[in-house]
Amino acid sequence: MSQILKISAVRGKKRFIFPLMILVLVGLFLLSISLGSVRIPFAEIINMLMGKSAERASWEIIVLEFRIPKAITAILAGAALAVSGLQMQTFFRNPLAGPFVLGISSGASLGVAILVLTGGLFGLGLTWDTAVGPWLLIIAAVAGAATVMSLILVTAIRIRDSMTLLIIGLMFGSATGAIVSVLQYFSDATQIQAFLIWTFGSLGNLSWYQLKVFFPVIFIGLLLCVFLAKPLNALLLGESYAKSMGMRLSRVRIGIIISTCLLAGGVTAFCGPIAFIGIAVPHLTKAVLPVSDHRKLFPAVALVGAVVLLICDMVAQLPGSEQTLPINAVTSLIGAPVVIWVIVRRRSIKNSMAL
Amino acid sequence: MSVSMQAVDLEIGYKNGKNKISILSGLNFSLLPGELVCLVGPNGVGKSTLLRTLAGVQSPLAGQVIMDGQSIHQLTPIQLARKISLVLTDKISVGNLQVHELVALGRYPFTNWTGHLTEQDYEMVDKIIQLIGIGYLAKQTVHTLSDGQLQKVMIARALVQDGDLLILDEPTAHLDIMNKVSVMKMLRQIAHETQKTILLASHEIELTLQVADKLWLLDCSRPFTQGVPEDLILKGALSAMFDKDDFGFDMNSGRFKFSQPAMFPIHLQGEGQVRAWTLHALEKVGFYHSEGANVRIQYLPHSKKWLVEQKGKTNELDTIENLLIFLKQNLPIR
Repeated sequence: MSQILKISAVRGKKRFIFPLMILVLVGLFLLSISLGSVRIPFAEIINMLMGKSAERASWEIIVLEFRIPKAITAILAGAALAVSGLQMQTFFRNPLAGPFVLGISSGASLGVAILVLTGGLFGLGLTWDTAVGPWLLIIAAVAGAATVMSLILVTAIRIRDSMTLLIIGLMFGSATGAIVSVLQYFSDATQIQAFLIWTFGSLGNLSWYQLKVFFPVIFIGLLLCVFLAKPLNALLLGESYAKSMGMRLSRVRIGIIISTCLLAGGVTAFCGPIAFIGIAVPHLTKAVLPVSDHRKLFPAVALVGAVVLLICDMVAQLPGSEQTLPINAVTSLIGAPVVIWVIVRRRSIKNSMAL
Repeated sequence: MSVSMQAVDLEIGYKNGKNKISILSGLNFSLLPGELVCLVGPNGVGKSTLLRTLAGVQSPLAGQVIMDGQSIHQLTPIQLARKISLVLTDKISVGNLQVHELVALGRYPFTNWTGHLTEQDYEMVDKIIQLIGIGYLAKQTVHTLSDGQLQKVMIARALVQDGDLLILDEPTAHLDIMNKVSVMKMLRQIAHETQKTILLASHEIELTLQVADKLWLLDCSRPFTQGVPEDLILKGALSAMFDKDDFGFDMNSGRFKFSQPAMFPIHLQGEGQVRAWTLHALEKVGFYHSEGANVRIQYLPHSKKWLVEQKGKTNELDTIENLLIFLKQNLPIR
């Protein structure tokens, strides 16, 4: 009996961390919408959030139509990429896995590359500036990602070994990368620049209208994790043990692929291939919160992912200046040293990660 | 008498396209509750295939494996997991997982879709942790455990899964001798106390002889043999299985021996442990005991020395090491 009580005590100990992280997230959200190239008083921001009108109409437009959608995009994308990265790392038992190992981002970039780089042939000048541009880009990215993912899915049903699946995903990635290179080789400078800008990633391209599509996609992807937590916990012991406990590997594998498709595919379609968050945040989270239970890890990783991407976005704004940096560069520039620091401090990657 | 598992005309092997590769056929056996059965045989003889087939992981080529009146190969994964639990040789590296969490994972086939553990589940986990005696490890993270501790934790996880049959693949590999013995003793005790059937594959034949209720022998050239270990020894099944030119099973001691070509007779006097170990050392280098041989060796308990008599000369040596050196220098061997 005493043992049970002790175990229960362990279960409850880390609970205060979640409210804390939610507070941090809310704080960062407010900070994020108060920072920008136009200086707006904080009291005005709060006023606007309470539904009152602001002193100047232009402030309302800036905050309500640009800053808030952007902050929401950052939160959703950060959570989505981090959760999808955790799924891949546990599923493949590989600390270097991330949301894009199955070829999602390369599939999406292939779609976008075909659209942007061959667009000139049909006389389409495709950028985010035009009215149909964003939707065409999104559709191209989804089509590309979906094509590669369905190929992966078909192979996933046929093969038994998840390591093979990982390698096949990498091969698909290389092959699509090669096609993109060929397309670039035959394209002119403006098209290549348009494509490159897409690869830099951007959180600021979503209007409320696009958020209406983005939000449910990410929400369903995250919802699937509720069903995946139990099998992923069993998979910590490896596939053989998980199967011996009654887990149906093929179903779980399809569930994980669909969830990752929605999460990583959705983010890539709307924001471009945002690097690093997916690989780094799960490691960061596990270093801060030493648990392995996915029922706790999923919400924790989602929160940390949202926080990290919000911070990266604020840094990318270069507060106090007119310039912005590409989000992809910022995530890696901030993230890489942080992860190195965490790993070196923990000394052993094996101990802190579910390898 | 109730039976926990029964195999009927079982044929095991692999299907490779249209080709059937049969490894063993015509297997008929029963496993009884509370029984510890050890499967013994050389590498590559099909031990793993047999275990995989009995665990329901692999389909048989013919015949059936029956538990509770049902063929186990027709059960759903969850039904199967509630009857049979496994301890595998797979390496476990689970990062931050704590011991009690790992053990609780064994409740997988009983928990709902969220994996929520009920109070009964926790009680079960607690009971097994006490039974195995790993309560002092419960809150440690898994990567801090030694191999021996980890193996006990994995056995606890399998017990928490609460099937009637527990199958272990080489549970004592990688363990030191103390842990080998303690794990084997523990398994025997669990089988008897919980009335679960435990089937394990092992290469530790000497150890399995001491703990097994039954032994299953698998050998390339011989039919599947099973029985109480002592019966199998007396029938000569073990000595036949391990009969090699320079290596064999000694029916007297239940141990394996390198057989050295006996080259030079000596007469070794005395009795007890000292004589036994002196003979042990002498046999290793090619001497054999023969009554009335020209060279006589005797242990003197008062002076704790060995006395060697040959051709009327006597020499006293203070250790077996020096005895061997003396003999090698003075006798025409090697």
